[in-house]
Amino acid sequence: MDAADEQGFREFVSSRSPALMRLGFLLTGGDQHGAEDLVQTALAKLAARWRRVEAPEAYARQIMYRQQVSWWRAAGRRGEVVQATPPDLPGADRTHQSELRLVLRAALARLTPKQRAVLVLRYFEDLPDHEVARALGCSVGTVRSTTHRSLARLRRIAPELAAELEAAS
Amino acid sequence: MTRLLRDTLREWAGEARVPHDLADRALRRRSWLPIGATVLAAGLAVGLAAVVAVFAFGMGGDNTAVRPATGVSVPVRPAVTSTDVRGDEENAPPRKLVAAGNVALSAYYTTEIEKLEGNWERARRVWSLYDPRTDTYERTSWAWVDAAPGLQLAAVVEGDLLGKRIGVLDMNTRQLLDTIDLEHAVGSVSWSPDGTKLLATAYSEYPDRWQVMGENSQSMPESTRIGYYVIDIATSEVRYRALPPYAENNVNVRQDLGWSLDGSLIWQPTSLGRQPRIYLDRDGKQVDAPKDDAYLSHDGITRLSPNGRLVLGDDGLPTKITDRETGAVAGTQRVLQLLAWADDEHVIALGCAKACGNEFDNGLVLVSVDGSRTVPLTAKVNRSKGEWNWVLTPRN
Repeated sequence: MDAADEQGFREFVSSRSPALMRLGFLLTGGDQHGAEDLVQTALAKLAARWRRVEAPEAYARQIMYRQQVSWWRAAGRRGEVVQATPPDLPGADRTHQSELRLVLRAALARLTPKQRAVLVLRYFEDLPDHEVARALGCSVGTVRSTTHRSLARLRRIAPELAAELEAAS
Repeated sequence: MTRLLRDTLREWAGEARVPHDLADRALRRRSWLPIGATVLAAGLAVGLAAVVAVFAFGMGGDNTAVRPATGVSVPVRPAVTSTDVRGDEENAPPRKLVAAGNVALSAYYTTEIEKLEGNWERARRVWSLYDPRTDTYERTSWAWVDAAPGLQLAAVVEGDLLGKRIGVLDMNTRQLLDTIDLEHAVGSVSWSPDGTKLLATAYSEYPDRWQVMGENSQSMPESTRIGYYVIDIATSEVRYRALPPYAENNVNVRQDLGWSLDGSLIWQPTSLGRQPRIYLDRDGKQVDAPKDDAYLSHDGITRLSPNGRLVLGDDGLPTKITDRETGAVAGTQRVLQLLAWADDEHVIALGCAKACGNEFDNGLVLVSVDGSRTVPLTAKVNRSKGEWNWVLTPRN
């Protein structure tokens, strides 16, 4: 990487890092440090092959998706352990949308990285199923079944969201 | 209602803070990312950096099919490819990952000689498999181990010496993703080059045994091979075919089958110089050897360089690499064996210690085609008794 390449890389990071950090933040379930690590890893790999990559943002995102899933693999399935104690939930009478969103965040944070990644790719990145499958390196069937299981798990974690999420599955 | 999900995700994402120094961090990290090698001793750093610089491979791409029943995805390739040079110059067998370019030492085995009743002895393999979680090699109790290309999955034979069960192991989590029960016991297992199928050779009795007839004299029994399995991991299809030993002038008791370079055929070994391998098609019918048979190495890796121009020569010392078309010598190397291409200009080889006074004092090295540069990848130890034996596997 010569000076011109480095300049190009810095410009790319400057313009795209907000979007990449938002994605990383969601993929890690709202973990700022985890998101920084994820983005940093992806950018380092991107920098290493800067000249050879035609679509740098797509490349960085791809690394983030798969890195997140591989971290999940390496760390075992601890994220899937269903805890006996439910998370702090607002009272049953709190049905305001902003409160529902807070409840949903807490529930999303308790999904496995893979489950969360599928939902983020589908509902935040707005990717069709076949592109989600390509991004995560799995089949369309797996994307659909994981989406279904993820939403079901959200409903279990936060029953007050059940009606809201029913239509999404 | 997807609206709630979308709104929540968008609002939540907005809380991410953007560090101001991400580019600096990435550039700093990039500088050490590809070269985590202990072999980067001061004097060799320049040479290795050059090696790293020429490796360039693309992403794994969309090459995954999923077997719904078990979730075993084949072929599994790493999402982000690695080509850095890694070594453990201090140890043999190595404790840390050994890899260069597109090849990694995925596993190794040591052998222990066990005395049996009468004058019989047998050699037991003790397998160690790379563990990406610790970057080391983990000793296992399986009877046989073979890592798939990409080093994400490994096939293992469960059993004592032979086994009637094959497991498919996720190398990252060390969890068995699938097990395949067999009617006949198998003594080896080998992934197809594309990482979608397994070839397992069945024996009626453990083949690595012999009778001691006197000092330096052994009597080998008849081969005990009875057949082989081809197992399609994606579809769970298991096919067994009986195949008696190849007997003509053949003293090998272990007669494991192997894959052709493109994985379309399998072969059985002979002891015949004119025809070291006899090829079989999917139906077990004998067929002519494919054109690229000449480039198949003992361990199933191609002897042809990635760009198809150069061919690894026979054992040395010295060894030579020749032009595939003209036969012209492209370079000679003071090594014992050329094992596998790391990239178009570098080869993983078996190098000997110092001035090669004793060819059994050897270890893995990375050598350039012109032979001018040699970098140790493992320590060099006396291997006259087969102290350790490597398995090299395509890395990406």
